[in-house]
Amino acid sequence: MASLRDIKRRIKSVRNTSQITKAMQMVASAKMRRAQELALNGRAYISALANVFKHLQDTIAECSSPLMQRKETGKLLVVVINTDRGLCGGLNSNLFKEVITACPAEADYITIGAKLNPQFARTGRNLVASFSLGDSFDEAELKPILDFIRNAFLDGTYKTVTVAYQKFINVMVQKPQIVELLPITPEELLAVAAQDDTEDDNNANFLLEPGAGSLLSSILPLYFANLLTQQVLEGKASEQSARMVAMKSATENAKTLIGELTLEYNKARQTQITNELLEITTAMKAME
Amino acid sequence: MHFRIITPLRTALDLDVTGLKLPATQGEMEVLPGHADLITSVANGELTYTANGELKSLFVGGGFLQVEHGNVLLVTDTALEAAAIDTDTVQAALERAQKALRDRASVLSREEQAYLEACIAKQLAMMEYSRVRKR
Repeated sequence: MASLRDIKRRIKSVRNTSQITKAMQMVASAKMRRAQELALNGRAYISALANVFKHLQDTIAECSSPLMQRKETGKLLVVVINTDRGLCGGLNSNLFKEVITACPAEADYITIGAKLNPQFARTGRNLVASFSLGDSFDEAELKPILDFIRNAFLDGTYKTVTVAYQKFINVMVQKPQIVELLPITPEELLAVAAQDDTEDDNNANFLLEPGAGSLLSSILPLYFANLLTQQVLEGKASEQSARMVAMKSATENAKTLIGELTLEYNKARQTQITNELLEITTAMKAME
Repeated sequence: MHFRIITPLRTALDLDVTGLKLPATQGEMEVLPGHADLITSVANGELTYTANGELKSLFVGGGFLQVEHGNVLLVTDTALEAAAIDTDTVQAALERAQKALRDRASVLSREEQAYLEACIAKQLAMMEYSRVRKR
Protein backbone atom coordinates (compact mmCIF):
# COMPACT_ATOMS: atom_id res chain seq x y z
CA MET A 1 0.00 0.00 0.00
CA ALA A 2 1.26 3.46 -0.91
CA SER A 3 2.43 5.54 1.99
CA LEU A 4 0.40 8.46 3.26
CA ARG A 5 2.89 10.95 1.98
CA ASP A 6 2.85 9.49 -1.54
CA ILE A 7 -0.91 9.72 -1.73
CA LYS A 8 -0.87 13.26 -0.44
CA ARG A 9 1.66 14.23 -3.06
CA ARG A 10 -0.46 12.72 -5.80
CA ILE A 11 -3.58 14.50 -4.63
CA LYS A 12 -1.70 17.77 -4.72
CA SER A 13 -0.41 17.25 -8.23
CA VAL A 14 -3.81 16.21 -9.56
CA ARG A 15 -5.34 19.27 -7.96
CA ASN A 16 -2.77 21.51 -9.64
CA THR A 17 -3.49 19.92 -13.00
CA SER A 18 -7.21 20.39 -12.52
CA GLN A 19 -6.67 24.07 -11.80
CA ILE A 20 -4.80 24.45 -15.06
CA THR A 21 -7.39 22.59 -17.10
CA LYS A 22 -10.14 24.60 -15.45
CA ALA A 23 -8.42 27.85 -16.42
CA MET A 24 -7.93 26.61 -19.98
CA GLN A 25 -11.58 25.67 -20.13
CA MET A 26 -12.58 29.20 -19.15
CA VAL A 27 -10.25 30.78 -21.69
CA ALA A 28 -11.47 28.46 -24.44
CA SER A 29 -15.13 29.09 -23.65
CA ALA A 30 -14.61 32.85 -23.82
CA LYS A 31 -12.81 32.55 -27.16
CA MET A 32 -15.35 30.04 -28.37
CA ARG A 33 -18.22 32.48 -28.07
CA ARG A 34 -16.47 35.00 -30.31
CA ALA A 35 -15.30 32.40 -32.82
CA GLN A 36 -18.75 30.86 -33.00
CA GLU A 37 -20.37 34.20 -33.65
CA LEU A 38 -17.95 34.95 -36.47
CA ALA A 39 -18.45 31.52 -38.03
CA LEU A 40 -22.25 31.66 -37.91
CA ASN A 41 -22.47 35.22 -39.24
CA GLY A 42 -20.01 34.41 -41.99
CA ARG A 43 -22.25 31.57 -43.13
CA ALA A 44 -25.09 34.01 -43.85
CA TYR A 45 -22.72 36.17 -45.87
CA ILE A 46 -21.33 33.39 -47.99
CA SER A 47 -24.74 31.95 -48.77
CA ALA A 48 -26.06 35.41 -49.63
CA LEU A 49 -23.13 35.82 -51.99
CA ALA A 50 -23.82 32.42 -53.53
CA ASN A 51 -27.45 33.39 -53.85
CA VAL A 52 -26.57 36.43 -55.96
CA PHE A 53 -24.15 34.29 -57.89
CA LYS A 54 -26.78 31.66 -58.59
CA HIS A 55 -28.75 34.09 -60.72
CA LEU A 56 -25.75 34.68 -62.90
CA GLN A 57 -25.30 31.04 -63.67
CA ASP A 58 -27.06 31.16 -67.04
CA THR A 59 -24.40 33.54 -68.20
CA ILE A 60 -21.58 31.65 -66.52
CA ALA A 61 -21.18 29.23 -69.39
CA GLU A 62 -20.61 32.05 -71.88
CA CYS A 63 -18.01 34.04 -70.04
CA SER A 64 -16.06 31.51 -68.09
CA SER A 65 -13.68 33.03 -65.58
CA PRO A 66 -10.19 31.59 -65.04
CA LEU A 67 -11.21 30.67 -61.49
CA MET A 68 -13.88 28.36 -62.89
CA GLN A 69 -11.89 26.64 -65.59
CA ARG A 70 -11.27 22.96 -65.13
CA LYS A 71 -7.77 22.10 -66.26
CA GLU A 72 -6.57 18.84 -67.71
CA THR A 73 -3.08 18.79 -66.28
CA GLY A 74 -1.56 19.78 -62.99
CA LYS A 75 -1.28 18.47 -59.50
CA LEU A 76 -3.70 18.36 -56.62
CA LEU A 77 -3.39 20.83 -53.77
CA VAL A 78 -4.94 20.09 -50.39
CA VAL A 79 -5.28 22.86 -47.83
CA VAL A 80 -5.60 21.39 -44.36
CA ILE A 81 -7.01 23.75 -41.76
CA ASN A 82 -5.90 22.40 -38.39
CA THR A 83 -4.90 24.08 -35.15
CA ASP A 84 -1.68 25.62 -33.87
CA ARG A 85 -2.04 24.23 -30.39
CA GLY A 86 -3.01 20.86 -29.07
CA LEU A 87 -5.22 19.90 -26.13
CA CYS A 88 -8.36 19.92 -28.20
CA GLY A 89 -9.37 16.29 -28.07
CA GLY A 90 -9.41 14.25 -31.24
CA LEU A 91 -10.03 17.24 -33.48
CA ASN A 92 -6.78 17.17 -35.44
CA SER A 93 -6.32 13.41 -35.54
CA ASN A 94 -9.87 12.92 -36.83
CA LEU A 95 -9.23 15.44 -39.58
CA PHE A 96 -5.92 13.81 -40.43
CA LYS A 97 -7.52 10.36 -40.70
CA GLU A 98 -10.09 11.79 -43.08
CA VAL A 99 -7.43 13.50 -45.19
CA ILE A 100 -5.29 10.36 -45.41
CA THR A 101 -8.17 8.26 -46.65
CA ALA A 102 -9.68 10.82 -49.03
CA CYS A 103 -6.63 12.50 -50.58
CA PRO A 104 -4.05 10.79 -52.76
CA ALA A 105 -0.49 10.48 -51.43
CA GLU A 106 1.07 12.29 -54.40
CA ALA A 107 -0.90 15.49 -53.80
CA ASP A 108 0.75 18.63 -52.44
CA TYR A 109 -0.33 19.85 -49.03
CA ILE A 110 -0.58 23.23 -47.32
CA THR A 111 -1.40 23.46 -43.64
CA ILE A 112 -2.96 26.38 -41.84
CA GLY A 113 -2.00 25.66 -38.25
CA ALA A 114 1.12 23.70 -37.37
CA LYS A 115 -0.14 20.83 -35.25
CA LEU A 116 -0.43 18.31 -38.05
CA ASN A 117 2.93 19.04 -39.70
CA PRO A 118 4.78 16.14 -37.99
CA GLN A 119 2.09 13.71 -39.11
CA PHE A 120 2.43 14.82 -42.71
CA ALA A 121 6.18 14.45 -42.50
CA ARG A 122 5.88 10.99 -40.98
CA THR A 123 3.53 9.70 -43.64
CA GLY A 124 5.77 11.11 -46.35
CA ARG A 125 3.26 13.56 -47.79
CA ASN A 126 4.58 16.53 -49.66
CA LEU A 127 4.03 19.57 -47.46
CA VAL A 128 4.76 22.67 -49.55
CA ALA A 129 3.83 25.40 -47.08
CA SER A 130 2.57 25.88 -43.57
CA PHE A 131 0.91 29.01 -42.23
CA SER A 132 0.00 30.03 -38.71
CA LEU A 133 -2.82 32.36 -37.79
CA GLY A 134 -3.34 34.12 -34.46
CA ASP A 135 -6.25 33.26 -32.21
CA SER A 136 -8.04 36.49 -32.97
CA PHE A 137 -8.90 36.32 -36.63
CA ASP A 138 -7.48 38.98 -38.92
CA GLU A 139 -8.28 39.05 -42.63
CA ALA A 140 -4.91 40.59 -43.46
CA GLU A 141 -3.17 37.47 -42.14
CA LEU A 142 -5.10 35.35 -44.58
CA LYS A 143 -4.21 37.41 -47.62
CA PRO A 144 -0.79 35.87 -48.37
CA ILE A 145 -2.36 32.42 -48.20
CA LEU A 146 -5.14 33.43 -50.57
CA ASP A 147 -2.67 34.96 -52.99
CA PHE A 148 -0.48 31.89 -52.89
CA ILE A 149 -3.36 29.55 -53.63
CA ARG A 150 -4.88 31.72 -56.33
CA ASN A 151 -1.62 32.29 -58.15
CA ALA A 152 -0.63 28.64 -58.02
CA PHE A 153 -4.01 27.72 -59.42
CA LEU A 154 -4.05 30.36 -62.13
CA ASP A 155 -0.57 29.56 -63.44
CA GLY A 156 -1.58 25.95 -63.86
CA THR A 157 0.56 24.33 -61.15
CA TYR A 158 -2.56 22.83 -59.63
CA LYS A 159 -5.68 21.66 -61.36
CA THR A 160 -7.79 21.51 -58.22
CA VAL A 161 -7.52 22.97 -54.76
CA THR A 162 -9.27 21.08 -51.99
CA VAL A 163 -9.81 22.25 -48.45
CA ALA A 164 -10.06 19.98 -45.43
CA TYR A 165 -11.45 21.58 -42.30
CA GLN A 166 -13.56 20.86 -39.25
CA LYS A 167 -17.06 22.19 -39.79
CA PHE A 168 -18.60 23.60 -36.67
CA ILE A 169 -21.96 21.89 -36.00
CA ASN A 170 -22.33 22.65 -32.31
CA VAL A 171 -20.19 22.73 -29.20
CA MET A 172 -20.13 18.95 -28.90
CA VAL A 173 -19.97 18.05 -32.58
CA GLN A 174 -17.46 19.05 -35.24
CA LYS A 175 -17.48 17.33 -38.57
CA PRO A 176 -14.40 16.85 -40.76
CA GLN A 177 -15.15 18.15 -44.26
CA ILE A 178 -13.23 17.89 -47.47
CA VAL A 179 -14.48 20.23 -50.16
CA GLU A 180 -13.23 21.52 -53.46
CA LEU A 181 -12.35 25.21 -53.38
CA LEU A 182 -11.08 25.74 -56.92
CA PRO A 183 -12.21 25.57 -59.63
CA ILE A 184 -15.50 27.05 -58.47
CA THR A 185 -18.29 24.90 -59.84
CA PRO A 186 -21.93 25.88 -60.39
CA GLU A 187 -23.14 22.75 -58.54
CA GLU A 188 -21.25 23.70 -55.42
CA LEU A 189 -22.63 27.22 -55.63
CA LEU A 190 -26.16 25.92 -55.80
CA ALA A 191 -25.55 23.79 -52.73
CA VAL A 192 -24.30 26.79 -50.77
CA ALA A 193 -27.09 29.04 -52.05
CA ALA A 194 -29.72 26.49 -51.03
CA GLN A 195 -28.78 27.11 -47.41
CA ASP A 196 -30.13 30.62 -47.76
CA ASP A 197 -33.81 30.73 -46.91
CA THR A 198 -35.10 32.87 -49.76
CA GLU A 199 -37.45 31.16 -52.20
CA ASP A 200 -35.94 29.68 -55.27
CA ASP A 201 -36.80 31.01 -58.69
CA ASN A 202 -34.21 30.52 -61.36
CA ASN A 203 -36.37 31.64 -64.25
CA ALA A 204 -36.42 35.25 -63.18
CA ASN A 205 -34.96 37.55 -65.77
CA PHE A 206 -32.48 39.80 -64.09
CA LEU A 207 -31.17 43.07 -65.36
CA LEU A 208 -27.45 42.88 -64.98
CA GLU A 209 -25.42 46.01 -64.42
CA PRO A 210 -22.69 46.51 -65.56
CA GLY A 211 -23.00 43.31 -67.62
CA ALA A 212 -22.60 39.68 -66.65
CA GLY A 213 -18.94 39.43 -67.51
CA SER A 214 -17.71 42.19 -65.27
CA LEU A 215 -20.09 41.21 -62.46
CA LEU A 216 -18.76 37.70 -62.62
CA SER A 217 -15.15 38.79 -62.65
CA SER A 218 -15.63 40.87 -59.52
CA ILE A 219 -17.82 38.43 -57.62
CA LEU A 220 -15.72 35.31 -58.22
CA PRO A 221 -12.53 36.41 -56.42
CA LEU A 222 -14.69 37.75 -53.62
CA TYR A 223 -16.50 34.46 -53.34
CA PHE A 224 -13.28 32.48 -53.38
CA ALA A 225 -11.68 34.65 -50.68
CA ASN A 226 -14.71 34.55 -48.46
CA LEU A 227 -15.20 30.84 -48.86
CA LEU A 228 -11.72 30.11 -47.56
CA THR A 229 -12.14 32.73 -44.84
CA GLN A 230 -15.34 31.05 -43.80
CA GLN A 231 -13.65 27.65 -43.64
CA VAL A 232 -10.90 29.08 -41.46
CA LEU A 233 -13.52 30.60 -39.18
CA GLU A 234 -15.32 27.27 -38.93
CA GLY A 235 -12.01 25.66 -38.05
CA LYS A 236 -11.39 28.23 -35.32
CA ALA A 237 -14.85 27.79 -33.84
CA SER A 238 -14.37 24.01 -33.88
CA GLU A 239 -10.97 24.30 -32.25
CA GLN A 240 -12.19 26.42 -29.35
CA SER A 241 -15.29 24.27 -28.81
CA ALA A 242 -13.29 21.06 -28.90
CA ARG A 243 -10.75 22.48 -26.50
CA MET A 244 -13.41 23.64 -24.12
CA VAL A 245 -15.08 20.22 -24.10
CA ALA A 246 -11.74 18.42 -23.73
CA MET A 247 -10.69 20.65 -20.84
CA LYS A 248 -14.06 20.30 -19.19
CA SER A 249 -13.83 16.52 -19.19
CA ALA A 250 -10.21 16.71 -18.03
CA THR A 251 -11.30 18.85 -15.07
CA GLU A 252 -14.07 16.40 -14.26
CA ASN A 253 -11.70 13.45 -14.46
CA ALA A 254 -9.31 15.21 -12.12
CA LYS A 255 -12.16 15.71 -9.66
CA THR A 256 -13.07 12.01 -9.62
CA LEU A 257 -9.43 11.12 -9.28
CA ILE A 258 -9.06 13.45 -6.31
CA GLY A 259 -12.14 11.82 -4.75
CA GLU A 260 -10.72 8.33 -5.16
CA LEU A 261 -7.31 9.34 -3.87
CA THR A 262 -8.83 11.06 -0.85
CA LEU A 263 -10.74 7.89 -0.03
CA GLU A 264 -7.55 5.89 -0.32
CA TYR A 265 -5.72 8.43 1.82
CA ASN A 266 -8.34 8.22 4.56
CA LYS A 267 -8.26 4.45 4.51
CA ALA A 268 -4.49 4.42 4.76
CA ARG A 269 -4.60 6.87 7.63
CA GLN A 270 -7.20 4.77 9.45
CA THR A 271 -5.05 1.65 8.99
CA GLN A 272 -2.09 3.50 10.41
CA ILE A 273 -4.06 4.61 13.47
CA THR A 274 -5.38 1.08 14.01
CA ASN A 275 -1.86 -0.29 13.76
CA GLU A 276 -0.53 2.20 16.27
CA LEU A 277 -3.35 1.38 18.72
CA LEU A 278 -2.63 -2.28 18.26
CA GLU A 279 1.03 -1.74 19.06
CA ILE A 280 0.22 0.28 22.19
CA THR A 281 -2.25 -2.26 23.53
CA THR A 282 0.15 -5.12 22.77
CA ALA A 283 2.92 -3.31 24.60
CA MET A 284 0.62 -2.69 27.59
CA LYS A 285 -0.46 -6.32 27.64
CA ALA A 286 3.17 -7.41 27.60
CA MET A 287 4.02 -5.20 30.60
CA GLU A 288 1.20 -6.55 32.79
CA MET B 1 -40.32 45.85 -49.76
CA HIS B 2 -38.03 43.75 -47.64
CA PHE B 3 -34.43 44.88 -47.33
CA ARG B 4 -31.46 42.97 -45.95
CA ILE B 5 -27.81 43.97 -45.69
CA ILE B 6 -25.43 41.13 -45.01
CA THR B 7 -21.78 41.66 -44.14
CA PRO B 8 -19.22 39.03 -43.13
CA LEU B 9 -19.53 40.10 -39.50
CA ARG B 10 -23.27 40.48 -39.10
CA THR B 11 -26.64 40.96 -40.67
CA ALA B 12 -26.55 44.73 -40.55
CA LEU B 13 -30.15 45.38 -41.52
CA ASP B 14 -33.24 43.25 -41.86
CA LEU B 15 -36.43 45.27 -42.18
CA ASP B 16 -39.18 46.57 -44.46
CA VAL B 17 -38.46 49.76 -46.36
CA THR B 18 -40.42 51.96 -48.74
CA GLY B 19 -37.43 53.00 -50.83
CA LEU B 20 -33.68 53.18 -50.92
CA LYS B 21 -30.94 55.02 -52.74
CA LEU B 22 -27.46 53.67 -53.17
CA PRO B 23 -24.23 54.21 -55.09
CA ALA B 24 -24.06 51.58 -57.84
CA THR B 25 -20.81 51.39 -59.75
CA GLN B 26 -22.54 52.97 -62.74
CA GLY B 27 -23.99 55.88 -60.80
CA GLU B 28 -26.43 56.49 -58.01
CA MET B 29 -29.66 54.55 -58.26
CA GLU B 30 -32.95 54.36 -56.43
CA VAL B 31 -34.97 51.24 -55.72
CA LEU B 32 -38.70 51.63 -55.12
CA PRO B 33 -41.37 48.95 -54.70
CA GLY B 34 -42.10 47.19 -57.99
CA HIS B 35 -38.54 47.57 -59.26
CA ALA B 36 -37.53 45.11 -61.96
CA ASP B 37 -35.37 42.18 -60.91
CA LEU B 38 -31.81 43.34 -60.96
CA ILE B 39 -28.29 42.47 -59.97
CA THR B 40 -25.72 45.22 -59.83
CA SER B 41 -22.38 45.91 -58.23
CA VAL B 42 -22.20 48.60 -55.59
CA ALA B 43 -19.44 51.14 -54.96
CA ASN B 44 -18.27 52.76 -51.73
CA GLY B 45 -20.59 55.50 -50.57
CA GLU B 46 -23.73 56.53 -48.82
CA LEU B 47 -26.88 54.43 -48.80
CA THR B 48 -30.13 55.99 -47.68
CA TYR B 49 -33.38 54.17 -47.02
CA THR B 50 -36.83 55.09 -45.79
CA ALA B 51 -38.36 52.90 -43.12
CA ASN B 52 -41.50 53.84 -41.17
CA GLY B 53 -41.46 57.27 -42.81
CA GLU B 54 -37.97 58.00 -41.50
CA LEU B 55 -34.99 58.63 -43.74
CA LYS B 56 -31.90 56.81 -42.51
CA SER B 57 -28.38 56.64 -43.79
CA LEU B 58 -25.48 54.19 -43.78
CA PHE B 59 -22.02 53.95 -45.23
CA VAL B 60 -21.59 50.89 -47.45
CA GLY B 61 -18.44 49.44 -48.94
CA GLY B 62 -18.32 47.69 -52.28
CA GLY B 63 -20.55 44.71 -52.90
CA PHE B 64 -23.57 43.48 -54.77
CA LEU B 65 -27.23 44.38 -54.78
CA GLN B 66 -29.91 41.94 -55.77
CA VAL B 67 -33.56 42.86 -56.27
CA GLU B 68 -35.78 39.83 -56.57
CA HIS B 69 -39.60 40.02 -56.42
CA GLY B 70 -39.43 43.05 -54.18
CA ASN B 71 -36.86 41.46 -51.90
CA VAL B 72 -33.73 43.55 -51.79
CA LEU B 73 -30.50 41.94 -50.71
CA LEU B 74 -27.25 43.83 -50.35
CA VAL B 75 -24.09 41.81 -49.87
CA THR B 76 -21.25 44.08 -48.86
CA ASP B 77 -18.04 44.03 -46.86
CA THR B 78 -18.89 47.09 -44.76
CA ALA B 79 -22.12 48.66 -43.53
CA LEU B 80 -21.75 51.29 -40.81
CA GLU B 81 -23.85 54.09 -39.35
CA ALA B 82 -22.21 57.51 -39.10
CA ALA B 83 -21.96 57.11 -35.32
CA ALA B 84 -20.12 53.79 -35.67
CA ILE B 85 -17.34 55.25 -37.82
CA ASP B 86 -14.29 56.18 -35.81
CA THR B 87 -12.50 58.80 -37.90
CA ASP B 88 -9.20 58.33 -36.06
CA THR B 89 -9.05 54.62 -36.89
CA VAL B 90 -10.03 55.32 -40.48
CA GLN B 91 -7.42 58.06 -40.75
CA ALA B 92 -4.76 55.73 -39.33
CA ALA B 93 -5.68 52.95 -41.75
CA LEU B 94 -5.66 55.43 -44.61
CA GLU B 95 -2.19 56.68 -43.74
CA ARG B 96 -0.92 53.13 -43.34
CA ALA B 97 -2.17 52.15 -46.78
CA GLN B 98 -0.84 55.31 -48.40
CA LYS B 99 2.53 54.79 -46.77
CA ALA B 100 2.71 51.19 -47.94
CA LEU B 101 1.81 52.24 -51.45
CA ARG B 102 4.42 54.99 -51.47
CA ASP B 103 7.33 53.22 -49.79
CA ARG B 104 6.99 49.80 -51.33
CA ALA B 105 5.74 50.82 -54.75
CA SER B 106 8.65 49.10 -56.50
CA VAL B 107 8.20 45.70 -54.83
CA LEU B 108 4.41 45.50 -54.91
CA SER B 109 2.76 43.25 -57.45
CA ARG B 110 -0.05 44.65 -59.54
CA GLU B 111 -2.66 42.89 -57.44
CA GLU B 112 -1.25 44.18 -54.18
CA GLN B 113 -1.19 47.66 -55.60
CA ALA B 114 -4.79 47.38 -56.74
CA TYR B 115 -5.74 46.03 -53.32
CA LEU B 116 -4.09 48.96 -51.53
CA GLU B 117 -5.67 51.45 -53.89
CA ALA B 118 -9.08 49.91 -53.24
CA CYS B 119 -8.42 50.20 -49.50
CA ILE B 120 -7.49 53.86 -49.85
CA ALA B 121 -10.55 54.62 -51.96
CA LYS B 122 -12.76 53.02 -49.35
CA GLN B 123 -11.19 54.82 -46.40
CA LEU B 124 -11.43 58.14 -48.27
CA ALA B 125 -15.09 57.53 -49.04
CA MET B 126 -15.67 56.68 -45.39
CA MET B 127 -13.94 59.88 -44.23
CA GLU B 128 -15.97 61.95 -46.65
CA TYR B 129 -19.20 60.32 -45.54
CA SER B 130 -18.52 60.83 -41.89
CA ARG B 131 -17.46 64.44 -42.49
CA VAL B 132 -20.71 65.27 -44.28
CA ARG B 133 -22.85 63.39 -41.76
CA LYS B 134 -21.34 64.65 -38.58
CA ARG B 135 -21.50 68.29 -39.50
